[in-house]
Amino acid sequence: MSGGSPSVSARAPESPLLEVRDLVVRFGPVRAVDGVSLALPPGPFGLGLVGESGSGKTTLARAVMRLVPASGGEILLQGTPVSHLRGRELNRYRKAVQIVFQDPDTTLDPRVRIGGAVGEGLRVHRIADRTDAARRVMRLLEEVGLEAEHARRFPHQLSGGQRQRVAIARALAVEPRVLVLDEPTSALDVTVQARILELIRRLRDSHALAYLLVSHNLAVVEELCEETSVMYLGRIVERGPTTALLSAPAHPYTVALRSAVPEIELHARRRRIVLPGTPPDPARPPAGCRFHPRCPVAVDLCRTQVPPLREVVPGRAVACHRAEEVLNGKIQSELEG
Amino acid sequence: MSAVFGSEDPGPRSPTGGDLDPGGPGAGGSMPAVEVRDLSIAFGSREVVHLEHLEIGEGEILGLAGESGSGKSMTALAILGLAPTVGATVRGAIRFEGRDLLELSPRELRDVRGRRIAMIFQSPVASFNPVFRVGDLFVRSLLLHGAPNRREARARAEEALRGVLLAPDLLGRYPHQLSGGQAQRVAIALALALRSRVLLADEPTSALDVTVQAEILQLIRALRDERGMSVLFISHDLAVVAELCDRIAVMREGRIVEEGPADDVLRAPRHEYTRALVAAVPKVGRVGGGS
Repeated sequence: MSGGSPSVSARAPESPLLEVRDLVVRFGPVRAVDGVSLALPPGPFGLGLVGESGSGKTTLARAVMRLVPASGGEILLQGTPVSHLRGRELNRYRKAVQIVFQDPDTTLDPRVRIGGAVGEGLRVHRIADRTDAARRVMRLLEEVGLEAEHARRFPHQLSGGQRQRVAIARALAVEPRVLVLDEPTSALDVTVQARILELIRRLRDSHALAYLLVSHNLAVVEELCEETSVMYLGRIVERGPTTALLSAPAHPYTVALRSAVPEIELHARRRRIVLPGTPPDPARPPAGCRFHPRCPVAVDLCRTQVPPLREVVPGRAVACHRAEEVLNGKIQSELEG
Repeated sequence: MSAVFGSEDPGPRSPTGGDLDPGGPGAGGSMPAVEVRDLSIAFGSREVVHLEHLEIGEGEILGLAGESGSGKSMTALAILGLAPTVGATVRGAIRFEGRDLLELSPRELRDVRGRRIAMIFQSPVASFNPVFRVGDLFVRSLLLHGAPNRREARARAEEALRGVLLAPDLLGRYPHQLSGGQAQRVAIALALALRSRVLLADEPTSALDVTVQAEILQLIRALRDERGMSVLFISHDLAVVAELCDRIAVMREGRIVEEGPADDVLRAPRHEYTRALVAAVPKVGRVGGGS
């Protein structure tokens, strides 16, 4: 899995394919997503969204799919707002934006053969007639590394990795503009995960895919995404080119997250930063910076003033009053406690 | 047990041996805490695990790595005497404190299980009885395993919770009111309260967030360093195993394909399967390297 990681080229500012502006998703008193903005350029491009349980990353992905309603803000596909789409237009949107979930077992009907599952979208969206659909299904199965004979099998006759390949083939069948990948490899064994990551990378190039990849796994994001946003308690705390963000994180939370990742290589092992306390109750987020109760470098300002997400260096935005100090290593020892 | 790379390590990884062990057999901790010989676990005529030899050293953290279905969890269940409860037949020998666990009566085995060997799972909440408060879970276990009365049991529970850095008022909560990390700490605290010598940890951090995982790994390391506990750490995640374990045994299809000091196995894997497993671990920061 070495080499070939997406290059971070300085793109000309073109209009984004998918845009999320100030999105808010409320569940009762909880603002699961609280004013998040994202822009996904046309493919091939990977946008990573990382965070831990309760950060709101999966809710955000579901809101983009219009599986949960937004309480504020806007989602735009090629500049067109999608929140008010109904009926046929909503169908068209759902064809354009496809999702692959963590667990294919919960999305594949156990009584439908693989060929039927992959071809379903082609029929629903009237893309192909019967014979054409069958031909396309075969081609898709081949593309995701399955055999033609798999089309006749049922989901339980396939392994977990093969089922995830089916889910990817099904999402690709309708030739979407945007793919949302929600923890696509988290339920898989590590050797299987490696092969699925490879598949996504290959498809991304051959289909010029643009995708939003939701993951708790920094390594997965680094493999597949040019740009990454880090979420904490419903908000983006840092965003930037993936490589830069992971090699020199600028938000103390990203620093802690990065340092907590176990490393197999001896020289890469380092001091772990263990965050004090537990993540706060999302129904009653702390005042000021939401991370301040657990932040090793919080100062008085952090307890009262919400840090805005601001550009600290070109292409990198951080929501931290002390981002510059974190970035230039001035408070490294303070951070490590 | 090699401490050759100890000086290069950022954390206290070199094994402490038996010096902290109050009741360990023999001096210097040369005897393994648990020794498995010719272990065969079968469902009917189908053998799913066959281990010629596996030992957990006194005060050692042994990593048992492998993918789904490789037999890691069945091995742990067998050590705990629980494999027959899922319909498996177990043959061979499992030596612990001078006895063969496979020859113990159910009553003797229950005593070993509760008091001497503890096990924690991927989902601790699922292994707690949901209708009891955390405090009652402790008191019931401790009364079964040697606490003279409720008051003493309660005091030991509070001490154990403090030992895993939890506030004793957690004893008043129900299991579902705990976060994943708290629940795993409670499970470890129970092992502490029972004064277990051996901890079998089956994917204890696989369901946790990475920052919480770091806390639990630190805690398990401390149990070994400060209390001389011996740990069998089962995981599919070689990076986690690399962080924590002194030695690694790699399992595939019920057999150990490679075993050795953690750093040797990971740096220069000899078996093809280990190489594939090591290569498959996604790595962060290959480009920059970080801090």
